[in-house]
Amino acid sequence: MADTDSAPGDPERGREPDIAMWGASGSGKTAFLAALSIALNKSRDAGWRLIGENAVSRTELAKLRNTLLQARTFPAPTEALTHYSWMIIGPAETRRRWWWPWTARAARAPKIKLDFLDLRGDLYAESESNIDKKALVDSLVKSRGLIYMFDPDREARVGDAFKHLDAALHEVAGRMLVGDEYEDGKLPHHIAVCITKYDDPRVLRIAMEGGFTERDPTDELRIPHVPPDRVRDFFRLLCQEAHDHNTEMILDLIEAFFHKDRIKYFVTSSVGLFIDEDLGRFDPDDYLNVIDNAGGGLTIRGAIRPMNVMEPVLWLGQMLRPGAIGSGRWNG
Amino acid sequence: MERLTAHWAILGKTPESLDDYSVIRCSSGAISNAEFGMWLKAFTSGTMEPKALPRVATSYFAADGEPWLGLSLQREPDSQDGFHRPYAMTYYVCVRWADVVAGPSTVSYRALYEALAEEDFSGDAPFGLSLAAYDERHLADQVNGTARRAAALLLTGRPVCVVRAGHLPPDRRLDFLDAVAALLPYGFRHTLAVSTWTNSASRHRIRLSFAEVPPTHGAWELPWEADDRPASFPPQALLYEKELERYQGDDLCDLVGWLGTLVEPRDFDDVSHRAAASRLLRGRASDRGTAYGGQSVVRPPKPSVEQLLHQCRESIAHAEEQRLGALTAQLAERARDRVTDQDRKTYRVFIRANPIRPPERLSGSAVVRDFFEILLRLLYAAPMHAADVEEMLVDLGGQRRLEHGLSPALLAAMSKLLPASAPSGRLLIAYLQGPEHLHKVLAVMSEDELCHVAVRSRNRKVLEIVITEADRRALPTDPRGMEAVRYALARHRYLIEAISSICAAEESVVRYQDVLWVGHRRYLTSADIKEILADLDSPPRTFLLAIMTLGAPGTAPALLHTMAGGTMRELSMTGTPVADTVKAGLDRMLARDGGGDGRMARYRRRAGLGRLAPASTLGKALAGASIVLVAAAGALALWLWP
Repeated sequence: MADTDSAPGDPERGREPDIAMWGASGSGKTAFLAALSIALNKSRDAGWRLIGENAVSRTELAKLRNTLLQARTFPAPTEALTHYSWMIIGPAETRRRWWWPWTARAARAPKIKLDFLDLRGDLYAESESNIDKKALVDSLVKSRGLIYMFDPDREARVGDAFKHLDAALHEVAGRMLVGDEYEDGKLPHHIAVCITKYDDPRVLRIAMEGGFTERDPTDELRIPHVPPDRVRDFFRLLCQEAHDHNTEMILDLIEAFFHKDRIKYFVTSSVGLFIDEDLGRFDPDDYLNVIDNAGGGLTIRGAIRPMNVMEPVLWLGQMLRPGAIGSGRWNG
Repeated sequence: MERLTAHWAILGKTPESLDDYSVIRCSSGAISNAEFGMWLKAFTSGTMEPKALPRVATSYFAADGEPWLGLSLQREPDSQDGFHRPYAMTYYVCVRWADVVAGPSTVSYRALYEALAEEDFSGDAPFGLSLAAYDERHLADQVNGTARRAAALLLTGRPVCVVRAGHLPPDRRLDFLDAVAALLPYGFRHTLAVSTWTNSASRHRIRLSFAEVPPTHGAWELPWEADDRPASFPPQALLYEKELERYQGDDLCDLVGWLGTLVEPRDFDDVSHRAAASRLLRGRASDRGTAYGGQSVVRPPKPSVEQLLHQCRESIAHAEEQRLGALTAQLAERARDRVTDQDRKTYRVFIRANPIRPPERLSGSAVVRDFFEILLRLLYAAPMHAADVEEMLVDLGGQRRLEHGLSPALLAAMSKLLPASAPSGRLLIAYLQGPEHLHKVLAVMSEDELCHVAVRSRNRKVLEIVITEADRRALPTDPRGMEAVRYALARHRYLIEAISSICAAEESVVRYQDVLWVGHRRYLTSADIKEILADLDSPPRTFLLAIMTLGAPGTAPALLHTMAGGTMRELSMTGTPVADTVKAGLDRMLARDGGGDGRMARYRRRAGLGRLAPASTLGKALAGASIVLVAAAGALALWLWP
């Protein structure tokens, strides 16, 4: 038996997440987290690892990995605010002594601390009198990085992203921008806007038909990807294609509230596209990596190749590291 | 077998739904769909994990100030949402705490769970749950070292998380949670949320649960059936655990039964409640030692006050006077014991939830009157005050309050208990008893007493009664009566303290109008205004507005001068040069055409203004009126400036 902390009461005392997830129900927040460690393992820049900082986070990380890798399905819908304390450890760099430059020695490995807050998607739409909602807005105010998940599939069917984002942004802005701390009237966070479910045929088709995709000549699998400088335009197009006309305003809303140089857009997929092992490259007629199973659920068909899952996290981690350019936490 | 009314809800999704979890069906009545959703989500144990299902959890909440106890069952998923993700359905029932503790036997979590499992959750009517009686033997059989330690650790005020118990089936876990709760006074279930499983990465409010790993912060990690007691074990928990260890077999069963009778609501967050639990257990051990020479014989537990009240309510409903008499005697004995404010609050909550309405044929019953007398002694601290009458109307009058008469027996008991020093309470009771009673009480009250009561009570109904009575007495045909009323009103500052504390702005103006009219029966003259304001320091703005509504023609100068004079007195400016300047300004503002021409001309000359073109008489009259109005407004603004 052990006392897990010296202070009673609030389980999250003084510990607010650095990075908060933001997105509607079913937009893929938890799946994104589940894919993160797989993405890091598969990275070409070998040596990046994701570890849990404590027993709880280690257990959850293992469960999420197992869901994708072993059960080959997706995590259950999130029911409660869930806090993951993780850390990304990079490959150790080598340094040479100025006074003896002929031999190199290993320097300290870079570490990026990631405190994620995962939540049920509808929490943003609830009243602030809700205890969880209050905790959420508090954490958003104190966090430094945001991962905003935009699910084009949900937007095409439901179209409530604007409603949720608008409400939450105004609540956060109401708390942070009323005083004189941020003279330019912008929120101080870095925000990674992630277009999710790139592997969904509807999303990929829009990207390809819209001429947003390119082939990376160094990619043996020839997977079409949206180059970074075109992701913002692709995002705007997806917003225009949404079920709700208000969705068109999401991009403007984000750019109105955040510094443009602190916003970065990513096209992501937690499980990636299916690649036939025999063919060995992307087949535009057979790329579905998520298929229906006999029980009515979803099964991951082939190898999991997360796309742009670690990139937003590493970008945020680097931006938020002490000393990083633009990492000034409250320099507005 | 106990029968309780339970409200219910289902939290889940509909197949193919793209939405998050929400209440998809619930009973109608006391708790709304939104409230169910809020409380169910507030007490979630974390994201569903199939291996942890079925999951049983308890929760608590208050609706309209009334405490409720809830139990949920989350079942294994059999459908997918619109994103093809399996989702679990949570079936939830909740019962009023007052009902739980009112019956002849209290309710265990297992009993509630088994009753829930019997229901089909259809329709929209609340369930009538048939609950098994509190089974001390079964609960005692579930107690092991981990349960004792968990109960003791809960008394530190921090959550307890049981780990290394993955092999236990959900039923066994529920029994364990029930057993831990049974080792504490029953009243702690009032704020005890337990769960057969929690996810420690989630923020949750569960106080006692099983989990794979303990939360990072704030909870006690308690490995299943581990004997080691580390050095950091808090002393108060150690004492409680050691005390519990003294009970085995039948003794333990008796202890569980006794703790089950301690139903007064207790809060784990209240350090005094936790300390009291330890004292209670030590006190019981010492009682056993002295009274029974250390023999393991236990006195049969006394029924709790709530149980007695429940039985009294039943006997009144069935007009069983003899039984009621016997129960009242027991209640009287309990009322003679020390009754804490917390106890009184609990009893009042119980009575509000379970109103007692004697049938017509018991309206004159002395036994019922005696019962109400004892009830009032239990519910309110002695001596009773006028303010208690208002509370009584809420507690005992139910939703109907003043609109319908309360039981004559209750009113008689109230009347008997209220001391003579609570005339407003007497007025209220007389009002409830009817016009004849009211008339009798009023007849012996002087005008001065009437006003005094209104000011002291600050009660809307009393104020209404007093003004109506003053209006009845101040007849123009009776100069002495009028004078007495006017004098009493002036002496009690025109009931300003009462009206300003009871009424909103608009209503205040109307009330002051009533008071001023009753005192004068005419539009107020300049002399009236001066007299009224002479003795009032800083009258409220609403009072001044009321004077304006009743001012006779030509009284504006008097009002302005009196107000200005009052302000200067208040600010200690009387006799200063500024006071002279203000007076000169007022004279100028209020100057009529004729007399004012010279002064106006001097003013114009000083201000460098040429003479304006002559105006018509009508124009002059309008201009003059406008000046007076503007001046009055300006002076009023000056007066009212904080």
